[in-house]
Amino acid sequence: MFVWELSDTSANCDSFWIRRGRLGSDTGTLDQTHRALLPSYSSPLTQSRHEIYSPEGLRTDGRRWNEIRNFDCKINTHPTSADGSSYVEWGHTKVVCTVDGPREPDNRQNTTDRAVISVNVNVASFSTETRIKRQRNDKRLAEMNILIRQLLEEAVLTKLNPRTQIAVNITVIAQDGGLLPACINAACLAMIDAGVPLTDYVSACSSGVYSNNALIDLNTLEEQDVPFLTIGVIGKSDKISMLTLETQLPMASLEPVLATSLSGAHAIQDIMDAAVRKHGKHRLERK
Amino acid sequence: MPFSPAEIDYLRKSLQATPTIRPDAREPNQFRPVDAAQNFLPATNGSARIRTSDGGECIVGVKAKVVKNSSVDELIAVEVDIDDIRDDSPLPKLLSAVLQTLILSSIDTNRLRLTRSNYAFKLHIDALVLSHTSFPLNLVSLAIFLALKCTRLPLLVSSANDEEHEEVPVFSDDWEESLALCGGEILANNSGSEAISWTPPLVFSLAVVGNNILVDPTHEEESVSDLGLIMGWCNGQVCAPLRIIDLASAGGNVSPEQLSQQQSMLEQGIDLNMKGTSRKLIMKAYSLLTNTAPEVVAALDATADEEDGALF
Repeated sequence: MFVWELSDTSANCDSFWIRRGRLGSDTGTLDQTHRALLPSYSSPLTQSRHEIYSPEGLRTDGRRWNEIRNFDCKINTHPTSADGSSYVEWGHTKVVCTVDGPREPDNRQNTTDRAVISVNVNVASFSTETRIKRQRNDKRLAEMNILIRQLLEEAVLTKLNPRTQIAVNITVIAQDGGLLPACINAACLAMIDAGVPLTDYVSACSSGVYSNNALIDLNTLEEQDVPFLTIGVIGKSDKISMLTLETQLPMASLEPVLATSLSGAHAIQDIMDAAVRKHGKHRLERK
Repeated sequence: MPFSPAEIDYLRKSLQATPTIRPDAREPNQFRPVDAAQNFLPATNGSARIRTSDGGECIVGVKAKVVKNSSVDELIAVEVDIDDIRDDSPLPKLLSAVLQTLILSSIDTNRLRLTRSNYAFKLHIDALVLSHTSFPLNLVSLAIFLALKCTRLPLLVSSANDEEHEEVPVFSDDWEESLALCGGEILANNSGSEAISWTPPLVFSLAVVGNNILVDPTHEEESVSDLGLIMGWCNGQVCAPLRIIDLASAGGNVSPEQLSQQQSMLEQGIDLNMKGTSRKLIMKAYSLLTNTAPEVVAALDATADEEDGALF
């Protein structure tokens, strides 16, 4: 069901954004007492409230606690413009990644005995529900660049390509939660397409906790209300290579949340592996 | 990649010949094949992606915002973002300015009006150039055309008359009832005039080599061109902006040595004599565009009618 919502973004009400959002099974997740307190959904000026996790065990978009959103990925989507490319669609989050390299570095002073990886995340201003113009020097993006770079540096056999540069360009064209994990998964696929030697698949997944229930792969609504962390793993190991946690998480929940994220990341690797194999088969058949 | 003097000479001579010989065997008024997708972003009012055979790619998202008491000039905002180029550098600014003026001059702003005195839609048109080798104007213009073609605005269900008392616009919950921005219905609803549909404008960059004018020039053709022309096309005729630009350096891909090489080539063998021929050339470009642009619009319309939804 598609609904129109108007939400106030400015105090003086001079302007408001129009949101075209998808509501989950809203009638099924609200109990009677809740509904009596809430204004009716038909009034367009109300910000609808969702129940994060219903007593029946359903989330706002109808998933169970251990279900990730539809993960669809393709590699070699930009064969002419880049050495490696991938496209990841995770729920409503859509990310395009291109990899150039290993190639001669732009700056010859920067040459080392290993390949230098540079990551650049670019977020389109139309990617969010309300249009936000991001600056190039946005601090959050800079932090994401570093996180992704450090994770890739661990997975890529950089010693095999000394005095080269690998440029990873990530473009986010739609976001609905799980931005960082989607970028990491896209970067891994593009690296594979570019033929960069990797030790194993790199994947990431987020999960949060809501009243002692771990919830895997949060969407935007859940990310706003629930403490969550994102982990990145290399291969199907239990070794966590990247972890970010920006909200307060109860100590007792850390262990289940880590376990959930880990299993999510491993599941993503299977999907990515299937996509890579499918592409490889397709290429061989074409020959 | 820089070209050797021999390559530049070969390119120029073949492009200057009558009839012109383009490296990819195209006609002077022929576009490269493009790959297009539409309406793949549900969080925008309209979206499109265009990809050319040389790997150039542009994604456009159109978002509508309700604004109060704003002047007509502010209802369209075009922003072009080119990968690897800073937002405040001349190229993205030139593209944004050209496209914004063109769209504003071509659209009947009644299409965006919500209530009689206060509220209107503001369209934010954001173009993201993921990669490009030639001058990206053609690419961005085609993508914006397709995005505007599939842009839909929600149906107003509250009263449009707010001259006597304040009326906050309320929209229909049903996306199926939304109106196409380009359709005639939206104009008839908003202004009570005839239902006339709107064809978004296009802007072309043409390369001039000798006495020949080339549509949709590649990077190679641009780098040996004498100059570039920017020409708009709206409502079935050639329109402003008409601009002369330096295509050989505008793409930012030509090194200074190359430029001086070309300069010397031009000085030695080829008589530029731009002052004498420019009027004739512009008339030639005008007639070329009058013949070509309707075909481009028809081809884009055909793509717009196709099934939409998938990005890659």
